[in-house]
Amino acid sequence: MPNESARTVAVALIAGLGVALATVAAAVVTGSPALAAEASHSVADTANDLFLLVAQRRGSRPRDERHPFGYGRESYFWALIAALGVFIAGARSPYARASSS
Amino acid sequence: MSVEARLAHRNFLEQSAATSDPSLRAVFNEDAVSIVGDVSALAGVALSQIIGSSVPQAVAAVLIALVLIRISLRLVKRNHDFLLGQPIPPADRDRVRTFLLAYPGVTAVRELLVTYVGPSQIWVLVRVNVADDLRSNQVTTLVRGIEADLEQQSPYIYRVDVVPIGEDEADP
Repeated sequence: MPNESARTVAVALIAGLGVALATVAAAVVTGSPALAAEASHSVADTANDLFLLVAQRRGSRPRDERHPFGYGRESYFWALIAALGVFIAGARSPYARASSS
Repeated sequence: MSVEARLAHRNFLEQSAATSDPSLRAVFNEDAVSIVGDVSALAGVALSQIIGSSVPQAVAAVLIALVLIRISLRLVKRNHDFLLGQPIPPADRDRVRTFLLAYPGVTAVRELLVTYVGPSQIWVLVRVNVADDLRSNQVTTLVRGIEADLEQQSPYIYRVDVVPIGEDEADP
């Protein structure tokens, strides 16, 4: 149900922010390419959770005259954008350097 | 409908509705990949330290990238399917059909469209044959009854439209 999903996304966002900060710090300290890849991944995850939060907010509006089926599909649109974000994060992660992530 | 039948039908569609939420799906996938990624990164760093070569780290970085790309393509496909209009699983569809046929006055289910209009939001559009001896106000009562009943069957049913057609009417 919507409230439950919103909470799931909010928790993921906060936890993701923590993971992102930790991996970025670890990547900077060690200079490891694997950790740099992971760090860029974590940062992208956090950004994606923002998209999913938008999906939750916009998708849970009640139906109106112009939208007799409601706004539920809005969720799929924003989740699609978030999925593209995961793709980009994956494609560029091997090229990430600790200094630029 | 008897009380037993109502109870048997309660919470139907629950399973498939749970899988229709793109946020939950994305978050679970992200978290799973994060753990896999962190573990491979750690293994890569540790192995590189032990054997003194940067190859394991590079392999870990590429592995993380491949897993991310694979997951993202799955998510894209999933969202694409739901945007296009995803029908519910056949078993759930059959349940809705059985539910409709249990109504006195409904003689056949001509066309049944059960589709997602959003996460955990199902739209039911159905054409039913109604017994020819029903008067028009009885048909109206029957249709309203089915719509209200079906909407109560599951919190995931967002909207129900029942179109009654006479028994001898040809398919439109």
